[in-house]
Amino acid sequence: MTDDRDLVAAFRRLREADESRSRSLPALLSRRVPARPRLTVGRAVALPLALAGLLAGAAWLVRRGGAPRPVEADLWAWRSPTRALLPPDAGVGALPRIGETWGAPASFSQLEEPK
Amino acid sequence: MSTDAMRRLLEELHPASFGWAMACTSGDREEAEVVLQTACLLALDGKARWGGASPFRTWFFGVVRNVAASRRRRRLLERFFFPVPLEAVPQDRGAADPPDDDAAREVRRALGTLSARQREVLHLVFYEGMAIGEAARTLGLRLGTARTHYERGKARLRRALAPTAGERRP
Repeated sequence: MTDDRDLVAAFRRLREADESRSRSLPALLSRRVPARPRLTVGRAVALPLALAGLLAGAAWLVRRGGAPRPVEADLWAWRSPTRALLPPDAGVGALPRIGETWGAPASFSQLEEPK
Repeated sequence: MSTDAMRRLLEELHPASFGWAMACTSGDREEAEVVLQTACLLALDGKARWGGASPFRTWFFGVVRNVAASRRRRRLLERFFFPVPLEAVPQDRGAADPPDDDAAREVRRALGTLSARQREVLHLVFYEGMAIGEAARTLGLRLGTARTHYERGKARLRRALAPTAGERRP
């Protein structure tokens, strides 16, 4: 400990400084207890705004996306220019094959299966 | 243990507890007072119970340290969610708050260059006069680990204090 005399002296200075600044226990206990949580005016406005933003975002996502679409519906959507001209009960065979005309057909007869 | 007995023990330990609270809050007096007040209230309300398995000082210093750590974590979270203070928090800093003298300020600055663990071990040993083993129990460290922090902390503190000592000598 002899070698540490410099450090002992340094900490003694610190202790003396602390002792001159410390309050007694009763004074400390009678001190106003900090409010917990500190809800300030700014936070009282910011928190509901943040929550409202989250809810609005979630509602927008649901409205935009809706329920997941079945794969079949996506396939029909891909062929939509032609599909729009077909009767609702027309099957897949009624569609033109790859390599055939893809422009808007003049009549339903163009969409018949090649013989 | 009755509230009166606990209060007596806390009063006996009060100067040392305040020093320890200052060490746990990096010398922030306002924060040290809040931490110490919270720890005392926890002990007096029976929310933190001393079982007698370790010396009272070891136990209470552990409570103070936990309170300081939990308040530090909470402040970090608050800073994450509210990086800009939305409203100034009133400080209970009275006019009767004497500033540190130069020597004490210099020691605090030098201690600030140490890691938290080194600072805690050195504080318990040199300021509180604990043996390294007791300091290790207070901090929940193994003896060897505490000893390593102690040795490295001493060397680092000496280096940090050295220029100051040189300036003082004529």
